[in-house]
Amino acid sequence: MEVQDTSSALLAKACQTVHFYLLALCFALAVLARLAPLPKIEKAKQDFDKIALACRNWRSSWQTAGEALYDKYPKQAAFPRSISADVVEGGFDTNSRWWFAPSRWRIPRVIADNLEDLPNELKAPKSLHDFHILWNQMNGQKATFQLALSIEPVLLVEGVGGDRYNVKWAAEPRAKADPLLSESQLLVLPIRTRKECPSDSRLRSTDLVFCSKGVFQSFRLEGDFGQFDIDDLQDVLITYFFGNSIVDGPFEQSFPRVARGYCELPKLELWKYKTDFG
Amino acid sequence: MASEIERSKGEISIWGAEVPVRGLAVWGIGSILLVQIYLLLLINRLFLGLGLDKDALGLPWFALFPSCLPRLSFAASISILPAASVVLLLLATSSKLKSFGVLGLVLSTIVAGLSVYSYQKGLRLGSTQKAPNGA
Repeated sequence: MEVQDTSSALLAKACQTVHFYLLALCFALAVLARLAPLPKIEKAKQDFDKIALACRNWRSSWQTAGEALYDKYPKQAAFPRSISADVVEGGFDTNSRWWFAPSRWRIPRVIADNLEDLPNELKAPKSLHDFHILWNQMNGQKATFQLALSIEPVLLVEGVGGDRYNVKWAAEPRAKADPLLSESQLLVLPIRTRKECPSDSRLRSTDLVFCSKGVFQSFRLEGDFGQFDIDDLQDVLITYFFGNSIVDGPFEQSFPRVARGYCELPKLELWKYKTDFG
Repeated sequence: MASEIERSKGEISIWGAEVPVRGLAVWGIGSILLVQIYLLLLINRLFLGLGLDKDALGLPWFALFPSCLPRLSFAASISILPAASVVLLLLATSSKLKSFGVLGLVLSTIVAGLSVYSYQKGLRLGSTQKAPNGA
């Protein structure tokens, strides 16, 4: 039957068309909503925020026990005032435990046990992005992560180096056979430059951060020191050390005064975070 | 893993088209609301304003079919389906936009309820107006 184009019929046709568009739009958006990965990543970020809070709490406890080094050198302290999940990266340690740490200072690590069910392709995540993928993969598998923040031995050196001294750091791994602690992981990272810290006169041009966890038996400080004075070094070289002692070796022998800057704390499990996936 | 990496880029590729998913909740719920409101205006005008004449009733649109099942289906399609889509978008929304999503769900439900009300009332009015003629 042919429909006449009366006003009512035209309006009915318009209703029919808009109704069809509404149905199509709802179906399309429902499909898109199912494909969108937003909530899982959001969940991971929320968990990182919890970790950041724990790290800040940890800093407070460290500050008390650390002989007020943080008070003395607030701008050189290893701890940031806030932690952004965007600067976090991770990997697996020698016990195949998952860890991740803020990439710029690397002091706390979060370790997850019970990862035996982890898919093989996720055994070596190298970034926060991979961690998100891992998180998504584990979601729904009823796996349990036991995340524990552990103190890492960290040696932080700031204010040394640059144009005048050309200082380089080197370190010798205790267990070279360990594939997960390759030479590339012997971190010698410039973390700040004088441009970025113009107000801090102690910073010459490049700050260096070196950190690891009980895998180095000695440190070497190499380079042309020129008129470098050991008393100056006492001022500008700030070292923080946590966990197992690593002060034996050439480093301490070369710069005995620096060893006084070490702050030793018992290895503590300061914080636990547990979550059930799925 | 490659597919997961692709998924996390903030865009979904559908038949070659890159669809942004970051603002999915905002523009998705907004679009549904706009179409729902437009449909509400049309339904109001058709069923409560002009009324259904013989020509309109001849249109092959299941909302105008005389039996109960098509009418119920139409009512469900303009109320339950949009609400379900909004809920799915809400679940896919970051926590910052949750309140916006809840507001969208409430508005969508209200508009859908008004549309169904207008539709049912228009059908009832149409049947009561027909009754004397048919008697």
